[in-house]
Amino acid sequence: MRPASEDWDWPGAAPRVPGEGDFEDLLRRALRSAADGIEPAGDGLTQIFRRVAAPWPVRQVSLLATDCVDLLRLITIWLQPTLARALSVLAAVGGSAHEALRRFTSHAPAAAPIPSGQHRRRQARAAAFWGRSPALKARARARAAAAWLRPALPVAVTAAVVMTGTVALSQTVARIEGSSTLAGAASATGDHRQSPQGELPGPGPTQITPARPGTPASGGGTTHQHSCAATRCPPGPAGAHPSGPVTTPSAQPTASPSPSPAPTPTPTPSHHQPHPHPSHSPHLPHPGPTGTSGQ
Amino acid sequence: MAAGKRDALTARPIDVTDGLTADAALGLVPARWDADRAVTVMFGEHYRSLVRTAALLVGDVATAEAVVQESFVAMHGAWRRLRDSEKALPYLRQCLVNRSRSVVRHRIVARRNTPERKPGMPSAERQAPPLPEHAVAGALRALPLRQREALVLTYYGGLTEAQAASAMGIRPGAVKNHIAQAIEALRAVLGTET
Repeated sequence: MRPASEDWDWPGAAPRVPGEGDFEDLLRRALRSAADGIEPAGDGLTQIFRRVAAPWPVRQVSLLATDCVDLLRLITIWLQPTLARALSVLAAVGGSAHEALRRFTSHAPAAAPIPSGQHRRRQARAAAFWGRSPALKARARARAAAAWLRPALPVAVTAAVVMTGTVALSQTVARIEGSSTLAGAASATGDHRQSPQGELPGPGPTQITPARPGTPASGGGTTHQHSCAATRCPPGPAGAHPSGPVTTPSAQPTASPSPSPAPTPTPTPSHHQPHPHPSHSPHLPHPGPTGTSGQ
Repeated sequence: MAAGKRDALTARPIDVTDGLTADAALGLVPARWDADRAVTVMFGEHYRSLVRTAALLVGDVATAEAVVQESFVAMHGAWRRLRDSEKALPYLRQCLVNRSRSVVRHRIVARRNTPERKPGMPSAERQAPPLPEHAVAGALRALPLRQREALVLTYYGGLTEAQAASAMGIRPGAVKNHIAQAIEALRAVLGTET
């Protein structure tokens, strides 16, 4: 304890001006006289020990609750302008709704403004509950039913369109599959011989082997490859055709070194093996996107 | 702890150093007993002055009592670390200043975000019991927080700048600056009135 007026001799302290000590003394006395009138309550120690005697979790919970209360109070203070604005908006909306309801239930329907669709539905419901005449009630019921029909109609139309499209698509797919099956069967029976041979690099008449009855797929497949090469069949995926091992596009009319002049009743291995002639390599079958045609 | 035991403790004069000596001699003495005894002794010696100091800082007596009681509770919990009456009083002052600062900051935030008061609206501050010396109390409340703390701790509490700096958690030079600025502000306010 020392008088505070001695403290102004340090370096950096505020310069002492005449009368400053008097002011400090005055200030000190004023502070003492302001504080000396304060008498704390007598149960301070009891309250301290009550807080101390509380179990630790209780104390922590009470401190947490105090902090939460402070935080909530601050949040409330922060949000007070927003809440006041929201309440005013709600009050305005509620007032307008109340006014609209009162207008609907009044006896002056002609004085009411021209209602919109939603407005009319509300009016119909309100009239159904609060309406004055049976005719108005019947109209309200009809409008309510129409209101339910409005969303049901597009749903029904959409369902019908989807079902029709599904049926049509399945039929189309079935037709395509049927035609391809027929085409496969026709090729298996040797119809490709009728293709113009002058343009085709296909097998010549001397090398065409009739399909054996037991192997329609292999023979047909092979000949179908040739027909695809001749026509404008797109280079689809190789799996689309029932192709066996890749066959070289046989340009046998010009390049077959086969010494046998007569057609053999068995399929020649030249159809199923890569042709050794280098001039045939550009005539490999369509390089499909997957390259599976080379299998 | 039973109330009878507490009354017995408060009835007879207690020397804190006696308890500490016994603690050092016996080794394992329940720390709770020491803390209770220390709180009782410190309460008898310093509670009133601490409440008055806190009242000058926060502006009303009820909040000041709550702040000081919380400081004593904190001291009770920290007695295991303190174990010394020489450290207990600075610890109490530091708790007091920190909690008073927290209260004042809460009020500042609340006042900043509170909408403008209408003329007829009652005020909580007006209903709270005011401090007796209105001019000084009002001028103190108008001071910034650090200046108010420095002024109260040194001019009312009689602390040195080092002690006030320790309680405020700042350097002594900063305490001197705060005091000088506070005196200038108070002179501008009170000097004209006096």
